[in-house]
Amino acid sequence: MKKFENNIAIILICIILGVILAIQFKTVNLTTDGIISTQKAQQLTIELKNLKNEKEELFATLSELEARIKEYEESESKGSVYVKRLSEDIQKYKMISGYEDVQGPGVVVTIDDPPMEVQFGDLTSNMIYNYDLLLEIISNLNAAGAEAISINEQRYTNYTEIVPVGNHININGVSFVPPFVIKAIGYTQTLESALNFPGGIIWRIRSQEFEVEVKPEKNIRISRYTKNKDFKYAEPIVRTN
Amino acid sequence: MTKKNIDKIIMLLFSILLGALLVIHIRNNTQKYDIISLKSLQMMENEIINTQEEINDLSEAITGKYLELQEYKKVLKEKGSISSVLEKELETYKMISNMVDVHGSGIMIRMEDNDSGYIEGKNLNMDIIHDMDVIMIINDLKAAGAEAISINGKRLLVHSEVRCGGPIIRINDEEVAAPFIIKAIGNPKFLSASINAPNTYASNLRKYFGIKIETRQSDDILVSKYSKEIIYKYAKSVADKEGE
Repeated sequence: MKKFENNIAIILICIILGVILAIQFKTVNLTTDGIISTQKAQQLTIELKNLKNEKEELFATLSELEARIKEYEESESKGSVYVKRLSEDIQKYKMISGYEDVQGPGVVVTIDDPPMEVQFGDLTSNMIYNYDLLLEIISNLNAAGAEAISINEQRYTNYTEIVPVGNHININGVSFVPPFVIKAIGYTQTLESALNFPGGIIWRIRSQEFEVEVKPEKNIRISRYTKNKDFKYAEPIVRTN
Repeated sequence: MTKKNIDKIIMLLFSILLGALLVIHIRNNTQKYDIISLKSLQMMENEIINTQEEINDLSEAITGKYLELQEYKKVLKEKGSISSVLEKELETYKMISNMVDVHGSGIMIRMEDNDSGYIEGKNLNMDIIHDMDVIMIINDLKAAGAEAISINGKRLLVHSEVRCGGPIIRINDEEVAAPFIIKAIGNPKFLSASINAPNTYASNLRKYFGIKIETRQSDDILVSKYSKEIIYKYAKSVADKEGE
């Protein structure tokens, strides 16, 4: 009789153990969204990697084509001073319009959302409602004599707009979420102090709980603007003199 | 007595085995779960869309360059010199650099401070047009597709700053004061909407701060070029350095 009771006790314990284990596994699966999110993340990572490779390849093709065009120009400019002057001028205007990769000393400004505890409400980034801060930083950098500016690798050109769209910020028509990385080439000390003085733009961004960092760097590389620009309305005025 | 002991020992061994197996199983299972928040997933999706767009732009640019190369070859064969192609290219880049006088359809905006006078307890700072107001309006115009913008005759360039200079605003290192006259070339309807539509920055300025903003659409607006020389001291072309 005693043996029988023992067996029943063990059976009951086994059943309870099994049920507890089942519950444990189910909840673990539920809270982490099952295996799907891991799989999805992996898929996305692979996709992103492929796309990045493709982009690199396209960049290589583009610079190869440009190099060949330059070869033509160079071989021509050996023969004629006029062609040499022309290609020098083109180079200059390419730099102004942002169609040329440039490098030099400057500063890197990184702005990110405040850490989670400070944020309240939904998870839409506060930066979206404060995009004027980005515009002000750029205006300040320009006032300090910046020679080339990019935001998240988007070259700042004559036509660059920064607008909030939904829960993103569109720059050059490409949407971004924080963190924003602004790179600027110019005289490092002037750029840095134009942003950093007490009461200045960085001070005010910091007082709004954003995480912001200004870092001087010796060699910054800013890549070119890749889209073609067409004019539909503006026409050049040709002067004949 | 001994038989019962053996039973218990077997039971104990099996329990230990079960425990070990469970631990191994759980360890294996949880290793797969990295911390993937919804936000990082969203960011990654966003990045993929951006990269795709960039790829499209790049392939477009490549086609453009390829056509250019073909033209070089053609012209070189026909005329023996590529100077005519280069001249055309120079014009294009000058145009994009805002170094050319342009005309076209667009709008004119006139902005003036609110001069309704001082009322007890009023902050007069609210009546004045500030540098940020001008920056925001220009940004709205750019988003509406403006192809050329000037403020009181100062053509806006990529390096143009709009800075507070006390009683005036500094643009392109020159003083500009109210009233501000902004000229923009582009689709007049879009440009006008970016200023006059409800809840845009400019219409809020008008509504809540009493800043006087008038717009006039026009078929032909002249925007003069940026006339100063630009010399780069710090930024060097990457292609140049590699060539050395």
